[in-house]
Amino acid sequence: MKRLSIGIVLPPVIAFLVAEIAVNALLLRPFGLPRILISSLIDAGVVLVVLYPVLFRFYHRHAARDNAERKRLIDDLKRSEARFRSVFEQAPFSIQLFSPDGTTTDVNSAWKNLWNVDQNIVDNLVLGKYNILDDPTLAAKGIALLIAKAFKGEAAETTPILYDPADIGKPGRPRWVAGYVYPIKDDRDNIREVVLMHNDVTDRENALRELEKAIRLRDEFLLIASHELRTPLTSLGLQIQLLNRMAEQGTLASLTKSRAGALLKISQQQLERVSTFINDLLDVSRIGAGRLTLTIDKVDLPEVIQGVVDQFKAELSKVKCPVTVRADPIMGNWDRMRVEKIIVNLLSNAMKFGAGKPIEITARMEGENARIAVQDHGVGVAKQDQTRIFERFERAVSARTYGGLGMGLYIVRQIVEAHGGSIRIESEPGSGATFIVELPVKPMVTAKKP
Amino acid sequence: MTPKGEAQPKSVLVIDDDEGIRETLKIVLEVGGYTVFAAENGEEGIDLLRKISKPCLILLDLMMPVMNGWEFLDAIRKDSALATIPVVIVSAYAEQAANIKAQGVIQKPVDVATLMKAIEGWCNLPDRANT
Repeated sequence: MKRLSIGIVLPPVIAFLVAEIAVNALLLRPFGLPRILISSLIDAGVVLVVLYPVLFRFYHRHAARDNAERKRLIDDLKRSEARFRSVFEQAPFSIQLFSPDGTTTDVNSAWKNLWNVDQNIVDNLVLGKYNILDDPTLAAKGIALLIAKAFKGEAAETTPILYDPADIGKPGRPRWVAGYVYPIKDDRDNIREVVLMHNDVTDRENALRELEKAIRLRDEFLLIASHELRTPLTSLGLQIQLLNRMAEQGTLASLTKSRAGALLKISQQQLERVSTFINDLLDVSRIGAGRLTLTIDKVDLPEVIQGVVDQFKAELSKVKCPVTVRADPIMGNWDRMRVEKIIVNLLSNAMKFGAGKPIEITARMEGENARIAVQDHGVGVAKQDQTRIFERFERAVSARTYGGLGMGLYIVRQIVEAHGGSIRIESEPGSGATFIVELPVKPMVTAKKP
Repeated sequence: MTPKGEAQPKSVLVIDDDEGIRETLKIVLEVGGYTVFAAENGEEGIDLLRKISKPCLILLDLMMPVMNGWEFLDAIRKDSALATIPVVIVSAYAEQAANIKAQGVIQKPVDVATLMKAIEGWCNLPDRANT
């Protein structure tokens, strides 16, 4: 401040001195140069001493006012910058600023997080270096035109784009990113800067994809469910129509005893099918709503397995699947009906996908768990499908070839997990599949007593 | 149960993987006066066709394991001995049968009158309900 005041005061003093010398030079010319200089200095000194307090105060007041104004402006600017910096850095979405020529001038923390880079990289490779108008990958992603538009003065929004860090040799999961790019213009409509905001919409996009998948599965489910229901209904409907027709034609009496018996047997089977199907649907819906409750009881595992095999005897011989059971004596605390369901579903699957080939069922203790394995020698399950098949309404094979709703293994897995156990598959396509269930004999579950 | 005016009972081949439907169709058609052969899938159907005298009609399901209806149709259309046998699709997925070159499509659940009429059309055996 002091220096500033002197800076303001000095020029008039020097000007005065120069003027004084000029006047003295005219008046005192005959007395020679030394006299002129000495007189001028003395005059100036006298004037300065007399006027100094006035001059100084006058200039000082002006300088102080200028200073305060300047300080206020600087403070305002600092505050504004701090505010901008704070909002910029705290913004939950990535912001990248460009000069009108396309080079990067600033990036925020979210940008660094989004691209997984540190300040060092930002300083050395991004700021002043990265030019968005020269980035060839943007054309491939189909957003180069939108970016170019923004640099010509028009705001633009990009649809979500998948960025895979692996594309640029970096670790990290692929992300969906939606962008918004717009120019900042001055009073004369010149572009001063271009702002690119990126929002990580991975969660939203994933949810959307999950939703689309759920809808697709639901539609598929409805299609197959209608088929599954239509098949037994077709059979039952045909029988009723046949009898009706014969009654109308008066030929009912000609229906032989063996045919009538066959019809009744078929009807019975179809009714059982519908009722099993509906029970499965109810199970799936209970599981979906988290209402699968277990009725825990002492269960004799070999007895349950043998019971199911006996129940399937006729079907097993029809599909030419000899079954071998090797079950150690195991008692577990389980829900009997549901353990039976596990065996039924796994055996049905083995018959369906391994028709004409033998099936082996084994049960033995392994630590605290009963290990049940159902092995077939059928089509097997490809590696990429081995997790999917345990999901609701999923199937590894086309519905054109194999019917079924994709509920069986889902129900099995849910029952097994409700008992605190686990299920897995070991399979090579073409050489059959082994489903391995591990059930703790004393399950840690919140079970309802019967 | 010999049909009127026909010395030789006409035969129909039913191909359906569902036992309930296969057996029911068999009884319905037998009561209607036809000889019925039944197969569980396309492959069995083709094997059977090579052993029996040509049926006047094949009733074909679409969704079946081993060899499905689409594959079966492709196979018999390429076989000059079998290519001329008329095929009527009996499927729950009538819409999927839309661009299949078959002689007819019957939607499940099947209406017996429609079924008998269709068979009669191809086998020239009068539907006895109308005689």
